[in-house]
Amino acid sequence: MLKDADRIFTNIDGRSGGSSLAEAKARGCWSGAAEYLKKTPRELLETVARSGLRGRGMFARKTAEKWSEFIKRPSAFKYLVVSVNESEPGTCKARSLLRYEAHRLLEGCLIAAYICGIRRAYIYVRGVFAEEIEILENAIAEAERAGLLGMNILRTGADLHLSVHRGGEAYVCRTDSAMFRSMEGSRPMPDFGADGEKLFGSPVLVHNPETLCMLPSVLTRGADWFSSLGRAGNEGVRLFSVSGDVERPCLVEETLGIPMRDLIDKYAGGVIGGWQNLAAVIPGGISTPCLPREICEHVRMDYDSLGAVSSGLGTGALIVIGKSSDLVGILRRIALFFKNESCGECAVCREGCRLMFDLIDGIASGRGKRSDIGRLERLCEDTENAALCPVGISAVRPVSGFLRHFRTLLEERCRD
Amino acid sequence: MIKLTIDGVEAEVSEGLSIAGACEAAGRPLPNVCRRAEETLPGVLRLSFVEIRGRDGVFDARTEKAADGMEIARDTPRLKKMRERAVRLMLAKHPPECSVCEKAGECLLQDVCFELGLSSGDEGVVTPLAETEETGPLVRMHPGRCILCMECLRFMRDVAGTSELALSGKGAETRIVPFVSGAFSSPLSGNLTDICPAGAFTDGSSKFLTRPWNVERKKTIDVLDSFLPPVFMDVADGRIVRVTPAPLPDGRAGMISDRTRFGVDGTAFGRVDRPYIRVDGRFRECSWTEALMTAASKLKEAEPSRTAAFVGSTADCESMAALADMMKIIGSANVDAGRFYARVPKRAGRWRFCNTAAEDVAKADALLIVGADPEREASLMNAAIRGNPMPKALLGARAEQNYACEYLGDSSDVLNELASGRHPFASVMKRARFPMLVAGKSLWRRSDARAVFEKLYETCVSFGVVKDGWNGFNMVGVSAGMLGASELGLVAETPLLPKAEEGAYDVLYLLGEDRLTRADTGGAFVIYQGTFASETAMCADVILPGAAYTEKRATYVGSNGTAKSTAPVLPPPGQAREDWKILRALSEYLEKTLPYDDLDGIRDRLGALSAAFVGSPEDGRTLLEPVSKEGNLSDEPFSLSGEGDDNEVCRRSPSLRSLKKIRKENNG
Ligand code: SF4
Ligand code: SF4
Ligand code: FES
Repeated sequence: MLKDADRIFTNIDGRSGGSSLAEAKARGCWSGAAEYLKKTPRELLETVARSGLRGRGMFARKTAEKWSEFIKRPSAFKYLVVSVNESEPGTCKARSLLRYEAHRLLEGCLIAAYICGIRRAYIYVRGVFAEEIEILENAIAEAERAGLLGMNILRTGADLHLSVHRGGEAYVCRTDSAMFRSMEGSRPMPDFGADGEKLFGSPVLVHNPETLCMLPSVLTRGADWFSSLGRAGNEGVRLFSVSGDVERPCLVEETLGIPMRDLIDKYAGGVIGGWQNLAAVIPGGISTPCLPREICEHVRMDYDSLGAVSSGLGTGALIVIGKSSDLVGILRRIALFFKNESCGECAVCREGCRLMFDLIDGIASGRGKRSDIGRLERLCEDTENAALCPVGISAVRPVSGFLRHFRTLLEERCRD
Repeated sequence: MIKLTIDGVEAEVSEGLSIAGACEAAGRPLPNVCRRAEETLPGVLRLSFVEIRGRDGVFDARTEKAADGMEIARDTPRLKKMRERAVRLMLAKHPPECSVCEKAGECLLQDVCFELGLSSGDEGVVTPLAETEETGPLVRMHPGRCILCMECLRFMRDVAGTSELALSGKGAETRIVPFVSGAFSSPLSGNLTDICPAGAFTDGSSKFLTRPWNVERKKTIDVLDSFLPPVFMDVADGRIVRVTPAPLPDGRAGMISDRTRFGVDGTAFGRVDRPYIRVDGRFRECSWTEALMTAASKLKEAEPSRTAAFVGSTADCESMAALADMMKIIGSANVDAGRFYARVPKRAGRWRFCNTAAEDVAKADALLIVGADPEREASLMNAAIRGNPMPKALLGARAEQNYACEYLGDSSDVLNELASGRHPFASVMKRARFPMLVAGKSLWRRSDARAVFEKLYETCVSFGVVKDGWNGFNMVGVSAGMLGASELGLVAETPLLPKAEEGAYDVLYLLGEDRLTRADTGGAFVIYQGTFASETAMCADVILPGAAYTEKRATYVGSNGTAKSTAPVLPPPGQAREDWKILRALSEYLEKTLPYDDLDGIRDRLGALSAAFVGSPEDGRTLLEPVSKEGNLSDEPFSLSGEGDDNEVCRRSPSLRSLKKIRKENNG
């Protein structure tokens, strides 16, 4: 278990005070800024590289690699966008993060922008987070007044203008190009055109807020400290949330590679009705395939271990499903989500998700036939092969995972 | 050039193409309902996958670049299966209504199903979507048939420049929705019916008239749009059921304006199809001989100087030349054109034409519009103007354009200021390397037209609108008939019509002129030769039925000054005849036979009258003729004439009339 002294998010649960600058400073935010802004971006980049920090988003790329590539892109103007479009059902960490750790995020933005030579950054927050947006905007204003953002930060000559962009509610905005279109004021759809990966025509660096929040600690406490946490190749800590049929749903920071069972038992107070009552766990938001109890028993929460059991770490949001829950009903709900959230650009994803829902809906309500399960399998394969953007693939994975482990449940529901 | 193998066959293609492009270039295109989509965009329909030897997985042929030595397979069993499944998915929601779909036979979706041998899609719940009424009677929309290829959105946004089509809903509820009532505002909206690969947009004017495989397709040119675009006219059951653009020389799909597409039905109604003479105040059907004899005797009786001829907007060049010759033979010099239209004299030279070639518009870097409404008067050229982000300014009546355009007001003082360089926009024009000026036909109607053109000449010279290798002056909106009359020198220096009203003539010969009234004729004996039972025809004493432009091989002069010939698509109705032949026959009765017996003969005559007709028009890049100063600029504001369409066919076309009415209502 992570030692309290090693925690990065010291206030993720909001127990140690609010998000004002003074309170944040008391918790250690911004403390090293004057120090590391004196170093050159190159030195800082090296530190980040040594820490082995990986992005906390979908692709889990090494942050330092991503940056060195980005720095090489020729353009006088570059943007940083923090994607807080937390739309993956089951996930709630960004919300707490904005509420209680806003200054940590701002500091992270500053570091990333400083290293990559960016002077304009946006935090893309989904519009329903009205309260959080207010907190964030206050935090930005405070930081600007204190000279921590804006022009000539702490008299080091570094500039960073930060603002909040309110998004709509589209799941597809997790795809970068769709998010850019949304920011530019058009309908969010993945854009594969020549300028698709640009925002307002300039190159953009996109980050998950969690990744950025790690940066201040990486720089102030050192790369070696960071890489000592977690396991080789899966260094560091990350936020996990546990919800569903557990005694105490929670949001915690832990090292990557913590056994799933520890997370559920030690932090969330265990499964309601005891471990024996566990039916399945969705390990990282609904787009990751669910895992049956036998696997949950010993699987570790990191990219590689979950990948080995054909699931994924996703957003690190565990959804615990007890035996009393209706698994097929949950699957139906998931399929409905994707049916509604496919952006509609490609026929494969749009129609595939719709048909998958129709089939599952039929089975769940007892109208289905056994042959429908075969069709469902075929559909999964089609959609996964040909979908245009990752959303289509995400939509298929929970269904194919379900078929892999719980096919009998579906068969029981069939008419014949 | 790079070498690659496509399905085991070696091919050589130029560098930098996508795989899809390379396959196309090698003559082995991919099956794709979205062939016309931009090359580098991944096919949203997900059909354009290929396999590449030595590489794992399948690749999108539209995003993947072709490289030297690649071995591409287009048709492996695996790809076939994938395509089949993608199409099955697409068909899952598609209504099975090919049997009543207007697109059937030309539908790319249907073609793909055929190619893949698919007869049905994945079973799913199909909720049929009814046809919407919103887009109006001409461009009909059937949302249920849409396969969401987004081509129409792209066209409306990038070419037509309106936001009247949008995507709404997400996920399974995604739909293309029109935000209009009754009709799209863009004069290019009819092109949606060609662009849509499926049957979601169809041409309402041909609805249920025929099936695409039952038509006879004829290539000709359209004269309703003075750019004379090449078109296909589809004929079935003795009528023209549809007009579509002919492909451009480079094989890309063409584009036509709604005038061209829908206006042709103006020729189908209210025609005169046999000769008439007036006896005791009433019309009587008669034979050609009788009609021509009556006309000839009146012409012979009258004193030559008391006869006059007027040509109108639908006359072709052959008949105009024949008419002019005939009048000369009987000794009258009274020929005129266009009292009711912009009067464009021959000595206006290149001031009558659009001198900037379509592909050169992209080169321009500043634009001044004077007294014109390019979006409606020159839709095709306007699409190119819109695609060019140069600074633009409009002087004249305020007409909404589909691009940002600085409005300079409608006072003629501004023209003075521009000419003298005092106006801020003058410096923009001066700085431009290829400045462009678009003037409208409304300028010709002004009483001070010469003074306006003198000022324009001054501006053109000082801004460099016309210089070596560049002619940026464009006159838009003048009808093809008027341009022909002007080319043949039939526009009299001083209008003859007022004289006719005063009764200066005993016999009037009207050729394709449909806008004179009884009062205009001054009690003369009126011989009407034309196509419509119009008000003018009703006040005639002899009616000689002529052929419409779709029914004869006739020459028209286009906006850019070149002459083009139509091809007959239909036979003339009833006893109507080609116009120049009528005049030739009449001259026999006058005992002064015109010296040409066939089309070649009259075309030789045309060639002798103007070089424009022998296919060697004067070079478009020559300088504009200087205009001498005549009178002063009046303070009359620039306005767009509200007199409606110059072309009689368009004025009479039911489709265009309803379209106009709806658009007017929409504009409040
Ligand atoms: S759009 Fe094509 S496939 Fe659909 S009904 Fe019409 S012809 Fe058939
Ligand atoms: S209406 Fe036609 S062109 Fe537009 S998206 Fe649908 S299928 Fe494509
Ligand atoms: S969600 Fe748009 S292509 Fe899949």
